[in-house]
Amino acid sequence: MAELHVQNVSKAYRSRRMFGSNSTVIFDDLNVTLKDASFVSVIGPSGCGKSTLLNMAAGLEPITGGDILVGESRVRGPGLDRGIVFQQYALFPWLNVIDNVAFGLKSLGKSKEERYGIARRYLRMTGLAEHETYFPAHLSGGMRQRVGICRALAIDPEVLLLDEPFGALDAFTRETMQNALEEICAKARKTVMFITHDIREAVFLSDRVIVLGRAPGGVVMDLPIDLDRPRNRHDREFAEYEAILEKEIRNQMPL
Amino acid sequence: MKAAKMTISTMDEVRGATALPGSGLRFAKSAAYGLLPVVAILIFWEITTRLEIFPPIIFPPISAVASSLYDMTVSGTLLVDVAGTFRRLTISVVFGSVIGVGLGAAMGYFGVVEKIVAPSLSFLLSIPGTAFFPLTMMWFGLNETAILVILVYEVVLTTALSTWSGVKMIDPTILNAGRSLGASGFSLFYRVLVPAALPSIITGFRLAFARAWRILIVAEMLVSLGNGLGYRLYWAREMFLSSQLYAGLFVVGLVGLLIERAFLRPLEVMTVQRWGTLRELD
Repeated sequence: MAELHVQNVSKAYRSRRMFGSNSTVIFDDLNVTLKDASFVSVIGPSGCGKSTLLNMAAGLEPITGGDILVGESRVRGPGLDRGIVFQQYALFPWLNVIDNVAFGLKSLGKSKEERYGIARRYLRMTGLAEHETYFPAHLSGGMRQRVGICRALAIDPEVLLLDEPFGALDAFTRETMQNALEEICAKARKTVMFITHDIREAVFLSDRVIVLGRAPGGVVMDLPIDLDRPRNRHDREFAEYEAILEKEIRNQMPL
Repeated sequence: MKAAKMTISTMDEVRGATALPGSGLRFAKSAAYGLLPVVAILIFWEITTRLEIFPPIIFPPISAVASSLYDMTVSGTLLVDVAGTFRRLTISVVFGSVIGVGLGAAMGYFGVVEKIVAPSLSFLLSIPGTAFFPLTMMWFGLNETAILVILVYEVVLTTALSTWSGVKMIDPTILNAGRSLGASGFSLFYRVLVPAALPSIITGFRLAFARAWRILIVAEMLVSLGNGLGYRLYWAREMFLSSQLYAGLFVVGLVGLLIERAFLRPLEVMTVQRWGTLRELD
């Protein structure tokens, strides 16, 4: 477990044109801190750079300026201290469920027994124990994403980064997956950055919700969610949080 | 979700075509249709030989072809010929595809390699492998090396091309997933890049086999090696043994079909089922 610090980060995309070059600023002096073992959602209108933020933290996207720190160490590229869950699952189709989950453990140099032992523990936790020999092509969307979450957790990362993980799922599966994720996070106690465009999902899962404005807006709202867990999506207070966030996001939307 | 559903339905079609219970009858039916022209030709052939329309050297009786086939099998020359051809094919495909897959993957992954190699590759692709025969004969003499070099050349080009495009088509998030799970450099190459491109690599492999097969049969006619299916065909012509010529042609077709159906096609279906994508299955 560790804190995640985004310090004075700037990010610009440079696109070459026929005459000169053009640069689009996504972030200009962005500062975000995720406390130890806290669940923070990042939400905002499309094009606000929320996925860019996650990719920078993942080390998959270079930053133009500033620093991103996991605990004490600076992010210089992808690393096993951060587990990533992708929107389109990004499972390896040539590996079965258990080998997908154990992939990162092999990079850590663990023996086959250890790898399978750890992988099985996470598969049991997410109700996939009986599917360990299945290939991704034969799983439903919800099951695939559970494998994706297991794969990210198996390496026991300091920080878990989820990029709209339930965006491609239907409404029912999405709620089930949210419940499952909350349970997993309660057990695993990880620092979590959760990118989403679903306000309800953000309020249900998060200790804090960060709203990003239209680029280069940065953080326009940082809202702690003070509700007891497990949360009831039909509470009056729950609805109030939703209303506050919805209003702020609407303000950020282009007309 | 849409893509996933489509994948499942196409997968079912693949299974339906290969292993649906009760497919025996369907197979028998389609085989009957396929055999129709064969039977027609055999009947026509038999009639022409009986009526002696053509001299027997052009159309020997089917019984003569069959007995030639039998003699060749019993005497063991057929086995030697098939083994020789198969050995040359295997050596060149194995060597060629190791080089080709390595080269193609490097081209797909490293922009620099692509920039350096791609133009030359495009140029070479427009030279048929067979055009190099006079050159390799001059270099190596009338021997097996002259043939193998050309086969390897053709296999390298074919597999490099398909691997190159296969690697370029890999979903970048798969590579990102690999990187974020600790794969980098060479381990990213063999743990993620090559398996992710495997369906394309297999397709290239199949194509390489088919091309090498065609070239090899011709090549064996040009260089007298003493064995090989192509050599046997040419030898039969020189000896005016037309029944052996027809028998040899039949064996060429049969062996080619067997390689394709018993080895290459199952290999492709296997990867297709696991990867969940359908690619160039005829």
